[in-house]
Amino acid sequence: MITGDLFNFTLFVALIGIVNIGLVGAVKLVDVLDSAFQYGIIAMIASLPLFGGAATILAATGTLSLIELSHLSLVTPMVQFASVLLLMGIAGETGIAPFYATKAEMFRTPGSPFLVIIHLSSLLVIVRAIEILLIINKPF
Amino acid sequence: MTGAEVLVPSVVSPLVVSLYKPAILVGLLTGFIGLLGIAFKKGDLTALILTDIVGFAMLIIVAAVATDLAEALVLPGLVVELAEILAISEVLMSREMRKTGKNVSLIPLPLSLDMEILETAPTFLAIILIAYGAFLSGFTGGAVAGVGILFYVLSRTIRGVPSTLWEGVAGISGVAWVLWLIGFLMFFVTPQYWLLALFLSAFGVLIKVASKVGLIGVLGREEFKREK
Repeated sequence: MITGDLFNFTLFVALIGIVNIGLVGAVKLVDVLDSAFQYGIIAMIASLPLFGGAATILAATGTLSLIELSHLSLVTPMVQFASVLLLMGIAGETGIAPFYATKAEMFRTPGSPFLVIIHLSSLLVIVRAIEILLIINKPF
Repeated sequence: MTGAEVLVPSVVSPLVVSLYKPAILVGLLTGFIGLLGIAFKKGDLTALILTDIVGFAMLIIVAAVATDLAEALVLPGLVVELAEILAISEVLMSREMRKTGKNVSLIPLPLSLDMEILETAPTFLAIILIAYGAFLSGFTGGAVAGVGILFYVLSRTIRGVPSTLWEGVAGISGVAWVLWLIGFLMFFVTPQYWLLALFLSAFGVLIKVASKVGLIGVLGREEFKREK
């Protein structure tokens, strides 16, 4: 998570999605598995904006290193578009606000283990994602 | 395309540069078609298969950048995509098994392949593959040796594989992984022992990859059987 490379971060986010599905998939309840399946589908669809955003940033700036990106002075519309894609991807992979409905059933069902891990991993990833988006876009 | 002149070296022909926009459009269009398909078809299995189209769209967008760095990014993207589809299909299978109460064998074969060659040949072929894999060492060797183990297992599943054997293989895999990590650590901590570190990581990853390839799916199935 504490990486200096944008693509490593997107890979980490994608892996967080897979691990979350795996943790929930260990539960042998049909409702929970249903919810895990839906979350998995959303996570897979979200990998398009996630990796697409990182690739677009590479195409727009020529680098994926966050240090290099923080030194760039101008932010083109392409970078802003890529940042929106990246945010969409991260939201889908971690299952936050617009996609929360897929994860809600997982939390509601009793007996599903590691709920805190799933929740905490999403929260920590979001904090770092916001930091990375601030580094790329430099609004201040 | 004002910034393109700065980023793209002059040796690249303008025709190649102009391909970027169509490639991105094709990628987004592919993703859109895939999403439309998911919206129209309501079946779980069709949704899973159609999400793979969205994954391809992702690969198109990454590959559209067309530098060597982008090429290096396609592979992890593909691997993550495959891992996700494997995980989701496993969840789907687990759910269906729970719903219907039926168990599914590791390789559902329509025919009964009870042939003599499956008893005599696998050991020989597996030994050759494992020996060649050990000679190659590293990741490639691990893959070759793993194919040998996988082949042995697949041809022996008809007779049945003892579950204790798999627990042993999983243990070896874990120890090999530690060896691999120690090898990598030695590169940084004590660079003067680089040869030892190289061999530790090479053979660690050999055993690790070999045992992992041989283990695909089998441990999960054992887990499922144990519960019943």
